[in-house]
Amino acid sequence: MQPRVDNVFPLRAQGTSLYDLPVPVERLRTAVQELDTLRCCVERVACEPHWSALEWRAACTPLMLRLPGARQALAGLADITPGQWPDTGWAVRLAAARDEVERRLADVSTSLSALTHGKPIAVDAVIGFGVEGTSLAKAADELSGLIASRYPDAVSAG
Amino acid sequence: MEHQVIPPGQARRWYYGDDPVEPLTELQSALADLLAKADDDPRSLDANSERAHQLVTDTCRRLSRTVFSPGGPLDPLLYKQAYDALIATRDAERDMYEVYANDLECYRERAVKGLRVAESDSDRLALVRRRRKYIPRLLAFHAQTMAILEHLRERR
Repeated sequence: MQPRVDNVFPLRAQGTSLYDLPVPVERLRTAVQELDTLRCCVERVACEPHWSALEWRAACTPLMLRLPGARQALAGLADITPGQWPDTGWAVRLAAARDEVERRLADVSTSLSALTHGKPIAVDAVIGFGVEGTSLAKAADELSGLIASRYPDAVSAG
Repeated sequence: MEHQVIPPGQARRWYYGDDPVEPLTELQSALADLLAKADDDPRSLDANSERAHQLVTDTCRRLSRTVFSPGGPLDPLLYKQAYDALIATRDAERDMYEVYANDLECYRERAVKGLRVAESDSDRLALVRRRRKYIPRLLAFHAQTMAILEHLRERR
């Protein structure tokens, strides 16, 4: 009987050089930069329950401008899969952390739409945005930390 | 939604052509001056309202054509949320300007006719209220535009 081989992924050695990784090092660096900037932007938005949509738009524009870059950076990490990455365990954790940031980004983006176009602004929407923003900042910090701790040279190299 | 990964070098290529930041900075600098004057003396806006409205219109048009345009530095599809927010604020400014400009015109016309004190006070109060509603719209538009300019400068 012939063994089935189509569901077997050869694991790569963990000692692979930074420049032999399946994803360019610049992509890891870009992701960390984008995630850190995104986290700062989210944390800077002070949730003021009495703001109008006009005030929310003014306060959240820096954050809205950061979302596409963060999404692109996350898309750049999509190729890091357990089957292709030398460190399987790390790749599994990264994929989970990346999914979490993507989910949180979508939540924050939806909340922003409600706040910046809503008339009037419901207090629940403001509270929801605060909670989702905190979750996004935490998820972004975790993902960034995961990359920085495993590949510090990639992140620090200019 | 799929996102294409753009290498940093490619994302910045547009800057070697026409740079949209400089003219936008000049427009916003002019608007900032008017807002600073209005902060010191809100009545100064009465003489500059048309200019302020024109600056908003010109800024928004320039942003649409040179920044949030296909091939521009901020892809209109990717940056739709920020762009829609800018347009919503521009619309809010435009709507309130229409009312404020109308009140201003009425106030001036009626002042020429020599109103009694009570009527004059009433007109003035209405104008003050309109102005108070108009200034936050200018401020919000200015804040959003400055955030966009800051973002463009960072990408350079």
